[in-house]
Amino acid sequence: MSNVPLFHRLRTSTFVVAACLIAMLVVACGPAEDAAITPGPRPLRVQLNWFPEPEFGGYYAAELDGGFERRGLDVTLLPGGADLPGPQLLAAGQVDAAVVAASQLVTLRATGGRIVAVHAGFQKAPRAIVVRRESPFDTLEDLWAADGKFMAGDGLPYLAWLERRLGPSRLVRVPYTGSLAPFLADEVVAMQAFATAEPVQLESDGVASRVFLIADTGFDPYDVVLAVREEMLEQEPEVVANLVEAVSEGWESYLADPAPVNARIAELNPDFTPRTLELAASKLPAFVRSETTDAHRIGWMTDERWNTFVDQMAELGEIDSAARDRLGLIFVNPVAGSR
Amino acid sequence: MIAARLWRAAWPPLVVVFGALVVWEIAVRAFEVPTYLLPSPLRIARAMIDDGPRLLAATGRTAAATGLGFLGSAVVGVVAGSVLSLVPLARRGVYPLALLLQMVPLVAIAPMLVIWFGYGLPSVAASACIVSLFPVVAGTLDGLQSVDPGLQEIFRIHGAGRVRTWWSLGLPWSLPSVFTGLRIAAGLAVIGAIVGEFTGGFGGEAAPLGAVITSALKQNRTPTVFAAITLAAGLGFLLFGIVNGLGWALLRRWHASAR
Repeated sequence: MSNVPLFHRLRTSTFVVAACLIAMLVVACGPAEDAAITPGPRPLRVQLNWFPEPEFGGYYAAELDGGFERRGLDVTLLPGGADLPGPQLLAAGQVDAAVVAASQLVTLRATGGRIVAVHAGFQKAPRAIVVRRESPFDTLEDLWAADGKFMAGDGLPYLAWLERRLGPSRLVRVPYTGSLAPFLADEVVAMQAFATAEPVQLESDGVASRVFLIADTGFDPYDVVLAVREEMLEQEPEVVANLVEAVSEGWESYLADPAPVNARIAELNPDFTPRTLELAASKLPAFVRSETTDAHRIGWMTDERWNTFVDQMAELGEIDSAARDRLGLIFVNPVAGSR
Repeated sequence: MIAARLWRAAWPPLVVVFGALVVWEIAVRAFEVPTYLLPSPLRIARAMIDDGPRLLAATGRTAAATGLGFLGSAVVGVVAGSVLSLVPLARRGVYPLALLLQMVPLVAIAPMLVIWFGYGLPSVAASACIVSLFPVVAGTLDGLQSVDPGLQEIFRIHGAGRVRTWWSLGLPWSLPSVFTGLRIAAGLAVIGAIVGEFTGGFGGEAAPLGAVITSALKQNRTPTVFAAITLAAGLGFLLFGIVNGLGWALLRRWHASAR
């Protein structure tokens, strides 16, 4: 090829390389093999919405006890973080199930995402605002009228709720990234928290704290809500039911004896000490159990709670009335063997 | 004359952008793409109008931090580049380390910046400055190292010291190269500011664009996310345009690149 000008040689080889790359891309992005063809346990990717912690105790227990395996499920629990878009990942098909906040489920459905809640780990909203124990705020109203920085994830509806109940706040909002450092360094006077998590962590960091529970102000959505896509519920209802029942069973096991699961969580998240995990686990029953769960199973949801919550979301302007009518099926309590 | 030149340069890309927007709108409707995945341009425009005042105020805040950070990186970059060129030992020892600025994952050090400089403008401007610094240093150093040896010789013959030579010969000579660095730094400064705002920006009423983006993401208000991104891109274009204009004004009389 030496008598062909260099430019032409380069152009040809560039074309060949480009064609190969495009071919590789097409093959790589093509449809995956149909999972149903291969026999064996059904692989499921479950996206959690925070780092490994006791709030997902039921999930880790089910994994440890073999609850998923016994029901023919090969579950991978994917840890989350501060800004992972779990609901969108689920709606887009990147994962098979995801733990989401109730508000995200509603707003996603309102914008065309077809996901459904199937399990509510927390019957009472653990959402809280935490302050130092020695701070001068006796009530939430006191805090709301104070000067200082408040570390909270902007865009969460409970903030809009509080603003409606208590009026605009003098507190300046700064982002919540999951790090307790600004609170420990006294940069911020208050921060958002799960009543079962941050106070325990703070205590092990040597800081005594107090919490204001948002549920006490009347805003009490379900939390640690497990959601799946509508189409999966239609096409594989047994798989979903088995997943949910395994998680509920895992929760019973965790609440009865947290120690082995806590050891597993400590492996996954070295930020936790055994003492912290023990303390956190001891706070969970008050939030995870309710009359409803005693009557049915852990994670069971009611129309009344969801309707109240959707009403509140509409009232806060998080969804408009047109979207409200389009919401459709928000939740199901799947039961294995019911079809 | 200037207006005609600007129009001649502007209309081809504008036509392409308009065409792309039309295709986007048609595609979203034809394939029934849900809003949370990819909103149509009309919905994004509607979000921009509905949220107009808030988005404009947020853009102003981000612009302030970007401007401050860019100014910082311009000044520090030229000074550092000059020092590195005047002090050979420093150049050999420090320049390879300056590359670290390019490598540092901003998302990882952003929380540290907040702790060191405080929430709001200080840490966000610092973030913008750090990300956009290296191109300016590199452009300055490169320009100063490329000064015509003959001209340097003339200065030496006439007894000019190193600093005098740097001021009267080196700096003017390296302006085109410095401006190349500044053009790159302009876009990076906007990115640095937005990422800095993810961890260090105020929320609620005083939110800059980065905070608007994270808040809108949580609420599944994807059109607002895209609207904020568009405004951030616009900010980048504006800064780039200012740098370009400044470069043209300073260089047009004597440098080939500005003719």
